[in-house]
Amino acid sequence: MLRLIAGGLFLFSAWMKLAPANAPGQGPLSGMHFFAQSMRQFDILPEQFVPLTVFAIPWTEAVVGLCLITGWWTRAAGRLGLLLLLTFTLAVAWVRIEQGPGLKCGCFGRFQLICTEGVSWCKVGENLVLMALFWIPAFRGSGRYTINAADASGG
Amino acid sequence: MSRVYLQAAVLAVVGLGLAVADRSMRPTPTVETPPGTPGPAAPVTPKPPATPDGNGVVVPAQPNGAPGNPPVKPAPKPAPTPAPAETLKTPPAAVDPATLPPKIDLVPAFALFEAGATFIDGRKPDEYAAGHVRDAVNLRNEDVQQNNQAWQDFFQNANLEGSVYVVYCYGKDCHEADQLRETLVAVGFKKVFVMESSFEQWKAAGHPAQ
Repeated sequence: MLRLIAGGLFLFSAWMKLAPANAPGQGPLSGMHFFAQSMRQFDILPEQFVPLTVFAIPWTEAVVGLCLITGWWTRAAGRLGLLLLLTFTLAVAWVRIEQGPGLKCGCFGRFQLICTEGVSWCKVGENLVLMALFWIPAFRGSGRYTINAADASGG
Repeated sequence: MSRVYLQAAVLAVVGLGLAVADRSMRPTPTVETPPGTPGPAAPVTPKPPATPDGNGVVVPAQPNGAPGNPPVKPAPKPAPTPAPAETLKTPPAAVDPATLPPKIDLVPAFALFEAGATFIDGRKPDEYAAGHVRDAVNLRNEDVQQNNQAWQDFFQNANLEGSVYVVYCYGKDCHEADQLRETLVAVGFKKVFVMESSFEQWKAAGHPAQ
């Protein structure tokens, strides 16, 4: 169950960034436009890395989400998800310290999960909760219902 | 143990490969395109400043996803009331938007105001309510992202090619106005400028406010 929630959240997050303009949940521009704006405003990456990073993050989220939902390579997907979340958490904490509150996160497109004020300490806490959610599939496996029996719990 | 990390590395490579493939199939997400300059995201054809009829207007999909209808021509703005004589030392010189850079200061901004440009206040609604450039519209980047009523009202009344828009927020260090300008250009607006002066500076110069 936890891996379905974790996988669903990552798939939703990926969709909100990758879906084209006017697709369900999107406005007149792709979520990618606003995610790129957030990345640039964070000012944590050199400009030449931003265009690829704004594609790499949601596509990796999509791959992780899909693996968690299907139960394929659950531990690997969970650990990759944990690594992503750890990176996001450190980045959010750094931006909060360096630039103060008020910046838009762009994490879930136009939606917010728990915290509504963008880059904030609340967001750091939210990411820590998500990391706890990913911890179980990452280290306990996929449970009973999986398409990959070798990855089931106990191994 | 090592098998799991090898699998994680494979998943990361797959994600990166999909990202590279996707990126090669669509343009760079955000492109800074000065007005009148062709750019990869939104090719712009320079037009003379006095073409309010909007002939050959490019009509993108409407915010609600419906096929594009011709944008409604904005109602003509009421003639601007001259500022008090003691605050305005000299009348603004006529300005050609095609010659202006994307970021402008108070003087060309006021000249555009006098020429009938639409001002966009990118600050929070409560700050806008407390005072803004006369006839300015309150619109924020997140309104476009959320595709909310404020954006839809603005877009329905917009003239993407014919009208000139000036975005402002808190002054030179305010990123919101830059982001909103980027967004409007990406949507298809042709003549959008950022006023690098704040509303307080505008008001202190004696320019029309409400």
